[in-house]
Amino acid sequence: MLSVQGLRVAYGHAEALRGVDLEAKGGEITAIIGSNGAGKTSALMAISGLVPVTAGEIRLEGRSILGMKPYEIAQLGIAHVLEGRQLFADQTVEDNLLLGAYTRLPHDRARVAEIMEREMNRFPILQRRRHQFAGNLSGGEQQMLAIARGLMSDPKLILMDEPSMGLAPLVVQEIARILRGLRQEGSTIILVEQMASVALQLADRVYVFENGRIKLSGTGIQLASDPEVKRAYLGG
Amino acid sequence: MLLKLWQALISGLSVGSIYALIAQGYYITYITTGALNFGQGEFLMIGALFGLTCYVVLGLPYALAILGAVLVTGLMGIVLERIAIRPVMRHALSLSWVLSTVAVSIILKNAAVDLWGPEQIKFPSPFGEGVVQIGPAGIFPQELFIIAVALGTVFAIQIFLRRSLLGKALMAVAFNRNAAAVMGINVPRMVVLAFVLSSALAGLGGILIAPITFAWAYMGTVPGIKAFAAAIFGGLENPIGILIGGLIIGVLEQLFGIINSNLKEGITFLFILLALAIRPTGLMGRQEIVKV
Repeated sequence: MLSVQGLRVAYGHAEALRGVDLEAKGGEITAIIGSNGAGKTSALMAISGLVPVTAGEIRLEGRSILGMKPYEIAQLGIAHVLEGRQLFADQTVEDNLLLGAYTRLPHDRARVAEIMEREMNRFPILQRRRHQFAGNLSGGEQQMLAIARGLMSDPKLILMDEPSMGLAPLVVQEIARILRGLRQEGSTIILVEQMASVALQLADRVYVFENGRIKLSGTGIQLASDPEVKRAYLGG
Repeated sequence: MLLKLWQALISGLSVGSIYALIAQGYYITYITTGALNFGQGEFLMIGALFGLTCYVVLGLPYALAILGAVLVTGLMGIVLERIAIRPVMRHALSLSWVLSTVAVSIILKNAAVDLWGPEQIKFPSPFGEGVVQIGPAGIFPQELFIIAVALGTVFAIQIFLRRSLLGKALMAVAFNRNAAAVMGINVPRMVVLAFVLSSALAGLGGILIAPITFAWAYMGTVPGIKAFAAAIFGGLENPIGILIGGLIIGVLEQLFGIINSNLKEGITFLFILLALAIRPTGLMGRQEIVKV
């Protein structure tokens, strides 16, 4: 689905990514774990076009998307659920969802209404909060809305940045359940996650980032039993 | 005295609604880009003079002259964004737009002197020179027309921003550029739209006000500054505050004008300074609350 080769990203003189290769297969959850500043978020932002790439190649279904504008990449079917939710706090839940379907509007209204019903069923709390301002939702509800907004375009590939950030354990479990459900529906997800235990449990394939490079990669099961991963990321 | 007060109130509301119209333009570009067009007053002037050409020279109906003024200033907004905003907004904290928009305003003033001459030109009122009796006072119909159109436009803009998909997308860009971009919204195009709307609002203000003032190359400077004062006074990010700010400033200057017409500008600005000293974020500006 998506392949990244030799990806480098720099902010001025600071290199955030120093040559990263990764592959996200269709219908799988690909997780990226690693400590703060390892370059996880930069990798997602490079894929969605939010930060310029200094070297390397990014291909979606074999076609290079390098140098495209973020809105063009969104139109190709890549949705990005940004770190820290980044909702339109001064607009309603429903309007946030509508904007999530912006690439399908206004020509595909009927389909968008269907998708909105689908997401309201997936996240019943959003149905109840439909006409409230997104800024008035609780942290967990905001994360649900951020994910739902990402799904509104019916994307081929979903980039999800730290969906568990700042949430209570029970809510994290709820989000994990939803991600598992999405995988069962056949969605393709690249998940960046600070909580390695959650990521290893969910992911088909895991990449461990360190200082802008890939330190390890393997299946979730392989890495969960890797002594180094256990020591560094699972607290055991 | 009561008669004078009544007259000042109506005139103040009509001038104030022009300030509100221009200030609404400041609001739209400020929320989307953090920049203001300090040439708004000159866009008003172009609206008035181009409208005058349509209405008097070409003999078009006033409604078509309004449309022409709005279209021309709207198109100028595209050029403004391209030459004076986009090249200098490479850095988020850049303030170069202050100079570049002032530069555009100077160019426009000089171009207007070349095209229309330096004299004040009478813009014949489309409603004739007569007055209508409202209560005890005689009011120019143009003044009522200004209030209706300007306030109607301010509300229409708000409905556009809050109800239409395009407006929601513009508000999304204003709130969070990156989030808007990954939704598939073409952010640079929305910024252009913001400057088109802003410029067209000023142009509309110009052709509305010209029949009660005069049309000339230097007519825009003072309304541009007063509208800026209204926007700051009302709270730059609050469209309702801006509307009320514009109306208050319009009415105040007319009331001060009764006392002494030479002092009215000075007293009005003094009042705004005092108000801002007491409430630095403006009348209805958001008090920044830091959530931890």
